[in-house]
Amino acid sequence: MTDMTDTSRPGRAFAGLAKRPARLTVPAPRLLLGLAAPAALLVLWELLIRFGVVTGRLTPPPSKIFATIGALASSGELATHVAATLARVGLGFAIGAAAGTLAGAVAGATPFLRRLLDPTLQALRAIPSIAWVPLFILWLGIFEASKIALIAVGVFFPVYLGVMGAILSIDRKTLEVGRVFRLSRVETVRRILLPAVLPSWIVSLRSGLGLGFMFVVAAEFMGASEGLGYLLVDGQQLGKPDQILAAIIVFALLGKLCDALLVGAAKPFLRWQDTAAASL
Amino acid sequence: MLSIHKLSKTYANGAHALEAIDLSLQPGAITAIVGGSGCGKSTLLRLIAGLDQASEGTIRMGRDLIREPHPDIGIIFQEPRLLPWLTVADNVGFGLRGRPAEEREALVANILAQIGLGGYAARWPRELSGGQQQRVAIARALVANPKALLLDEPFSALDMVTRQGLHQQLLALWSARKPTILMVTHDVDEAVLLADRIIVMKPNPGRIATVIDNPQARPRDRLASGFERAQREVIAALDRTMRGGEAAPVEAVGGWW
Repeated sequence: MTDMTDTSRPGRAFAGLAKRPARLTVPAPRLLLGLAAPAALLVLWELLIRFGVVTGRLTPPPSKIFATIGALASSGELATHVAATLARVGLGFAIGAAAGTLAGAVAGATPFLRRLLDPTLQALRAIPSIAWVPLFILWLGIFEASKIALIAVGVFFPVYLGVMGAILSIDRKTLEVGRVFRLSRVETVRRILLPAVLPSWIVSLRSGLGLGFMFVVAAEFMGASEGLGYLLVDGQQLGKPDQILAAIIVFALLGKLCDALLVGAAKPFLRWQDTAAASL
Repeated sequence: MLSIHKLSKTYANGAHALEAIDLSLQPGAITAIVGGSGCGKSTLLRLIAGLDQASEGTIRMGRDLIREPHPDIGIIFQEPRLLPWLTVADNVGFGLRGRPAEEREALVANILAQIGLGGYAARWPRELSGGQQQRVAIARALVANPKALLLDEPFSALDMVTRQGLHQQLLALWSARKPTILMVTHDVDEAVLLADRIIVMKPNPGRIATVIDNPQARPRDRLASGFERAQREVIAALDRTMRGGEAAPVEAVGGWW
């Protein structure tokens, strides 16, 4: 028998038996590959306008859009708008993710509560987000609370569904391992349920975060005086397509950055997954 | 030791899986259960493991009545059931909670060395072959030195070479620790190679048809005439149960040599 000794990677509880360091960096070639498609699109776009194939009146060239971003950044305006949007998404995401996780866990683990709550929540999930806007404004006013509530609603449902589905799909045989070793209910949750649910939870958080960014635009359309959504509305009202596109690009960068942060934070806990390298 | 009295199991859907099983396992011996599909072999093992509840009858481990998993009874399933988020070492040490870290680590390192996986402590289960995963499952079940070990067809999904290697490793671990082993198998060769006693079960409902003693000396030789005779006797007993032949009284069954 070949004994493939590997002492460079530690187990968690048995650190003395082995060592397994985390690798959190994204390899440079993969990063460059990910940038290739948008870079090519921007170059093509710029060239089409420079060579007069299209006028660029309503689709200004990337150079102008980046100049607008630069101007907004140097004036400090961009930071204000980004901070406002991030604060709303962050708070709405935290509330929606916490509530979704709790409701999903309760519904997944308790058949009675699932039968009680799930039909109502599924019906609420079918309501278009924009339909909540007048109600939230009426209930919570035009300022921050209604915006954050709208984002939280958007984040809640994918997280709720993800957590509940993950709990319901845990293999009975895996739970039986806990029974064989006489784990208490708390130990079963900590040592089996939580790790088993973690990959689906991360996926649902990523979906929730994506929806959070989608909903913040709707939220900032309703009477905001700052935020990237406000920049969009302002650009439309003043006929500044470069500002609209600048806001869209900043949205894309922020969304990607937040998703990457979430994935990076989760990665050390998902190294055991067979598919982790491919899907994350 | 492990004793079973008038054990019956009827499921909620009315399926009568087991009827009036009486069995007493000799301490430190290996007993194999063979029988056709649906004769209640795995049900019996699950009841002894405390994973299911009997409809009637009792199971005792020493003086303890078994109604739920017992610390002195380990079980190995057909599939390894390793927890994919734990390394090999953490899987093996899964049942050692409450013990000092140094003791846990020493026990895990010791048994991993015994099963030839000393260098695999930090690997994830997905990085192991099927045979290696099953060895880790055996180590996990044995690391706490249970007095009884139940095996539910643990080698059936493996290829012949791997299976034979695992037979030898199981025997080596058993020789060193001497747990009482009760194993379910479809493989007559495996039963004759490993077991001191072979219980042949018959279905509808599951009952003990015959108990065959197998006092061959160890290590056993598959090519020895005694081995072949034992195989023929078990196969003949299985044939009788398939044809609906009457079960021989347990007391009347002796060896074949």
